[in-house]
Amino acid sequence: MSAAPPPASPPASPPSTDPPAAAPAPRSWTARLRGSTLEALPADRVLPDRQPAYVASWIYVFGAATLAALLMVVATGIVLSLAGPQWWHVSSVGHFVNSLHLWSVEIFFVVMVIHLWGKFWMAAWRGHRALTWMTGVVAFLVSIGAAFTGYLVQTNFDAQWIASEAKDGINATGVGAFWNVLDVGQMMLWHVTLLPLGVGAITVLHVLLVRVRGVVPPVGVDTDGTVVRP
Amino acid sequence: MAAVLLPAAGVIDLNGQGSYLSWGVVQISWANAVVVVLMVAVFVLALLLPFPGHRDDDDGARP
Repeated sequence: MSAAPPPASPPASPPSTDPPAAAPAPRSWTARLRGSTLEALPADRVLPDRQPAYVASWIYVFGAATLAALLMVVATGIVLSLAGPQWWHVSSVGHFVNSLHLWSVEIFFVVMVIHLWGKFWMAAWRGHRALTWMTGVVAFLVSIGAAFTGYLVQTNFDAQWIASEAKDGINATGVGAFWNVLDVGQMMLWHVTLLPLGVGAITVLHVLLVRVRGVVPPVGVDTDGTVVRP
Repeated sequence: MAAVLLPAAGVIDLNGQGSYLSWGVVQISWANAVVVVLMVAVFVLALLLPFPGHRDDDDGARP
């Protein structure tokens, strides 16, 4: 049996001057997810080193101040959860950490509300930023729930008074049978797991949306960042 | 009709019995009212005070 003849080589053609054809789109979902993520959030947008001129105003610092206060809330909350709910009643260090937790929450809400005022009066939902605005609204509402459950798990008479006063209001909404403010165990788990996860997740989404859309300019300034001075 | 109750100790001693500002249907503790006033003051100052270290050559940066 004789070997098959080698295939004829194609005729040589001059090198093409056309640009190489684009690589076919990857079909893997991980590759597509990576591509879409990097397209929406390139590194220079996630951690920018320059900002437009209009950001150089005190009214633009309250979002970052809210984040800083939230980090303090989470850090002190982790310490409190490690030691248990009774710790701050019997330890001066525990009382100090609990006070840090309380006052960082107070600062968190103060700067968050000032941030809200600033963004409301500059109509921060402009320029396709509606989702950014709405995630901020949801973060505010979930934060109220997290703070409220914090007052319910102080394990003192103050917590009992707040719970007994709140139960009528919660029952009036119809959710009291499921969400029982008199159940310290349920409120504790909501306060240390579910609501912090909710606040953290919606905050991360909120910040990423700010990075995607950019910091909203003041009213009267182009949304592409061009500062129009009167 | 406005009724203002302001025992001096109530404003400072937050552990004592609270004192309240009552104005029609509005009722707010003096401690909370002071915090709200301070927040409004901070908001106004944030709009008016110049930001330190601002340079005018940043106009072309990405928003």
